[in-house]
Formats: sequence, C-alpha cells, structure tokens
Amino acid sequence: MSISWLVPMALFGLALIALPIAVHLLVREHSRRVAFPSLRFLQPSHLSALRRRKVQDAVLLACRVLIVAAAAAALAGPVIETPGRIAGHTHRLARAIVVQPGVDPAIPEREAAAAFVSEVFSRDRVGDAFADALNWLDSGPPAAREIVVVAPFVRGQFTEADAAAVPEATGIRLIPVDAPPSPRLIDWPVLQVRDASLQRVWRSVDLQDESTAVAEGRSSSMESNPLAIIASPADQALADAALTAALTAGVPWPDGAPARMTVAWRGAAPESVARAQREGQVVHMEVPSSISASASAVALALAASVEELARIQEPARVSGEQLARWQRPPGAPPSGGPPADEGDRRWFWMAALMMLAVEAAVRHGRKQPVGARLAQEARVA
Amino acid sequence: MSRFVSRPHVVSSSELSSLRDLELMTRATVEGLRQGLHRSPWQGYSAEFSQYRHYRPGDDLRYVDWKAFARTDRLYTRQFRETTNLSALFVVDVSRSMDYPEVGAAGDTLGPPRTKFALARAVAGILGTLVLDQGDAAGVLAVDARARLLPPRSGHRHLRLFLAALSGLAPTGTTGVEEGLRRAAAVLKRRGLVIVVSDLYDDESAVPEVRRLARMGHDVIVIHTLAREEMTLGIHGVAELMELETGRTLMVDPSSARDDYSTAFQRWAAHVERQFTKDGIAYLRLVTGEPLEPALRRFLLSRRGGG
Repeated sequence: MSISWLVPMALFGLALIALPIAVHLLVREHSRRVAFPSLRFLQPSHLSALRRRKVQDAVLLACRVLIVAAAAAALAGPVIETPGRIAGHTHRLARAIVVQPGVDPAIPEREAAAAFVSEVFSRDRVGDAFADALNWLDSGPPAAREIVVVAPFVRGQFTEADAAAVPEATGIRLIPVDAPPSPRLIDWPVLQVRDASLQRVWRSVDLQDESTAVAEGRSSSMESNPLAIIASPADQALADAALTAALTAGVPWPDGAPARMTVAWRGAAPESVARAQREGQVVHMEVPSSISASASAVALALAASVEELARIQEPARVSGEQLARWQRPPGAPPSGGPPADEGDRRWFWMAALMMLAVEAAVRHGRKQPVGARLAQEARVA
Repeated sequence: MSRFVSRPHVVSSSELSSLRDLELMTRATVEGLRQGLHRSPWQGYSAEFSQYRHYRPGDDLRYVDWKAFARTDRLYTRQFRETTNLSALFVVDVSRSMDYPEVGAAGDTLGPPRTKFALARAVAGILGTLVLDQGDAAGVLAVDARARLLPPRSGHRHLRLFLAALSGLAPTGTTGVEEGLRRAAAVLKRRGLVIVVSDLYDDESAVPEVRRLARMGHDVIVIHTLAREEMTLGIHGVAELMELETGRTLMVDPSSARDDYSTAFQRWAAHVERQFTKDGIAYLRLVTGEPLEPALRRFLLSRRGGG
C-alpha cells in the first residue's frame, strides 16, 4: 500500500504542525521547586489531578498536531493505493476519442459511454487532435488507456509516425467512416478556345458534397496547340470540326497530363503518326461518326489526365489491412501518475473533525471544577 | 537567608541595620498605638497599700506614716501587699515554616512585614516596647536547636537588649513553639503574660501547652501569623512544593488544588482559633502584607475593654 498526492505542494502545510508544538512549549507549566510552609492541606487526590492534567496536555497536543496534519494532508489530495484499488484500475478504461470534424456525433458518444472516463478531441487537423489526446491520457487517472480515432483515414491523415507516438501500453482503435470531403476549392486547368485563340483556363472547382461548382479563373494563351487529330484526307474536315468542338467546350488539361497529345484516327498517314509519336503521346481510335462523338472521343482520349480530377474528388484511403496492423488492445495501467479521479480527502477531513471533537472534549473536561470532579469520583467510589 | 544562618559573636552591620529598622518601626507603631490607649491594656501587679500597724523598733523609717503621726501622735508603719511588675515573655516561633513567603533582601525592613517571621518579630517588638515603656518586664524565648532566652527585665536599657534579641533570631529551626511554651512555665516564676507568636503548624502539641500555661494562671495571648500566599495557595503554575521544615516535596497543580486547599486551610485556622477562644485565651490572627497597626489597635482596645 502506498500513498500519493494530488497537490503535493500542500504538504508544505505540515510545517504548521510546529505551531501547536511551539504554543505547547511556550505556555506549558514548567515544574519548579517552590518552598512552602506545610503540605498538610494538600490532598493526594491533587496528585492524580496533576497526572491527569499532564496526560490531558499530551492528548491535547497530539490532537492539535493531528488536526493540522490531517488538514494539510487533506488539502494535498491524498490517494491511498491499496492492492485492491490498483487491481481495480485494470478493469476500467480511459478513452481519448479523436474525431474528424463533421463525423456523425453518435459514434464518439457511443465510444465515450463505454469508458470509465473519456474525452473527445476534434480539431481541423487530425494530427493536432491526436497530440492533444495523448497528452490527456498521460495526465489521466490510473486505468487502462485507449485512443480511438474516428476518421475517413484518407492517405496521410494517420501515418506510421502517429502510431509509433502512442505509448505501448495504450491501445489504439481506428474507426473508418465515410465522412464527406471537406469543402475546398481546387484550380483545374482546361484547354479552351476563347476569343478565337486557344487558351489555358484555370477554373476553380468547388468540391462540395458530391456536386461540383465551376467558377472561371485566370487564363493564359498557348503558343502551340497541345492537342491534335491526325486523320485521312477524307476525314480531315470532320477531325477539325471535332477538335474545334472539343476545345470550345473545354478539355481538362491538368498538371501531369502529357504536354502534347495526338489522336490518330484510322486511315491517318503512317508518316504523320510516326512524327507525332516522336513529339508526344499518340492515341489511336476509330473514326467517329459525328462531330459530337468526335469531341467525346477526344475527351476520352484524355482519360489519363482526368484520373487526377478523380483522385482529388475522392482521396485515396488507407487500406483496411494497414488499419488493422496499427490497431492494438490497451495494456496494463501505467504505474504512478496522479490519480486525479479518486481522492481520499474525505477520510482525512473526517479524521481532522474527529480530532477536533476529542480536543474539545478534553478541554471541556479540564474546565470541570475540581470539587465537582472529586465529588463525582467519590460518588463513583 | 544567609543572615539568619549564623550569629556572629559581634553584632554585624546588617544586624545593626535590622535592629535600627525594628526600632524605627516599633517606635512609630507604638507611638501610634498610644493614641487612644490611655489606660494600659496589661493587667499586671503593682505596689498597693495594705494596712497600718504600730511601729516596732527596727522598722524601716521610710515606711513610717509621718502624717498620721502628726495627726495622732502615734507611729504607724505602712504595710504593702506583695507587689511586682508585669513579666511578659514572648515565645517566638523560629521554625523554618515562618520564613515564608520568600522575599528579597529588603523584604522585611520598613513597611508591612512580608514574611511570617518578619511579622512575628515586628509584633513582638511592638508589644514588647509597649510593655517596657509602662515599666513592666519583657523577655524573649525562642527554641530551635538550642534555646535562646532573654529573661524578662524592665527598664529602658532593657528595651535595646529586647529588640536586639528579636533581631538576632532567625527562622532556621525545625520545631515549632511547643518546647518554648514548655520552658516558658519555668522562666516565669510568677504569674505573667505569655505572648506566643507562631504559625501554629505544630498546633497539636502547642495547643495543650498553651492551655497548660493558662491553667497555671498565666495570661496567654496567641498571635497567629499567617502569609496570604499560604492561605490561598498563591502559587502560579505547576510546582514541586517543598515543605520548609521537613524538605518533603509534592508536585502540585495549584489551579486544580487551590479550592480544596483554601477550604481545608480556613477550616484548620478556624479550628485553631476555636480551641483557644473557648478557653478564654486571647487569639489574634495577623496576615502578612496587611497593615499591622489597625489590627493591633483593635486587639489591644478589645483587651482593655475586657479587662
């Protein structure tokens, strides 16, 4: 069994014990020898009274010292750690719940209800909330510890470094949720014919829920056309019309897309195709039947570039296998640490009050007249 | 109390100083007491005319009544009843218990006596001076390890010796006044006045001796000297009390013992007084620190009225 203190600084109050001791030493009646004519009128009962008074003095001093000590100890927040109490700590769980903003609040509420003590941490960056949660667990009461992260777990949101930062005895549980992407704007470049010239236009795409809203942004002229269609002479007019239609509507051309792309229709001159292959990427396709179909075909040809948009709209998530590797059950409660949840102050206050009552009773007994006490003793005898 | 421990063969300066103080105090108090005491409080013996008888040859011519001879032409010799002066013997208690309470070096000089012994010596000096001033005889008897006796004598020259004898006494004995009272009967050849000055802690043995003296025809006055501190257990704080005469010690908490002590003491003092007064023996209780003259005046006036 050991004892720990929630407010150890208050133990300096024990120095106040010197106060009653000093008062006792200062006001105690020093025994001294005094010459006296005759002792014949002093009864032996007075000797017992003297002995009783000495005992009372000692009891009073002890009471006063204990009152001060108990009060100081109570203020210091004592926690008596018995084996039973320590064993009880393993059966309870302190749970820190890290939640990404926007997650259904029912999930953290459910997690909190099952814990002995819990706290929900939610910040814009999950990493910041995670650090707060670890600090809270460090200062928490003696109990098994677990950190629960409720998030979509997109790539980068929870990393190997985060898992390594969690103490070994602290359990980790990761709850993936399909939380909507946070509202945000991205710049998305598009090739478009404007004012009779080919321009690269940056459109701001607002990703909100499952819909997108496009706002026009800045634009810049392009010196050369990065997109071309090679067709046989018979299909050349259709190819030009299809290219014009596609560029008029706007062709996404995000960063990472090929710098130059050529669509080679069936029947195109092999020499032209070979030259285009040297300058950039060439996509082979059948001759579309209409201009609109041609434009679509051109857009589809840029599917590789479109993949980037899809990646932004739907971030990649950490795989379930990876999440399972990071998870672990809570270990034994850490030893030491301030058990802030359970104080034994009340016992010490009760002890102080009891000592106060004893002290008052002893003082009251001393005030009883000697004659009355002797008469009482005589009656008892 | 080193000045009481030994008596040098020659009178020391301190003793002379003490004697002068005693004389001064005694004289001042006696002068005060005389005012209002127009008649002597003492009932002594004096020469009184008895009868005439015819002159016979050989009679002392000083006692021939020449006036009667002139009237009757016959010689008559005056005869007197046996006469003597009052002999007062002061039996002073010199036991250690009289040396209480402890006071400083100037504790028992001028002013109200502060120790019981100083009080006893003062009252003996005052009354002795009164006795001697009216032509009677006064003596001192104190018995401790040895007896100290100044036989009763009269005359103004004896007053100095009387006061010196009182000054020379010291409260160093371990016995009370019993032995002194026993010897007083031998000192006083005729009926006289015995004045006992004591705290009477040996009352069980002293009272019978006082009664015996009274039965022998002596006029006995008991002056009971007490200290206020011993009447009320006037000690503050727990103390180990040491009995002055026996050296016995006792731890006492005065605050708890005071009530019972005072009650027992008062009961004892009243009992002692009753034992004397029921036999017609004069009793006067004097307490240290209280003015001496008024108490003596009341006592002497009461004796004169009673006589």
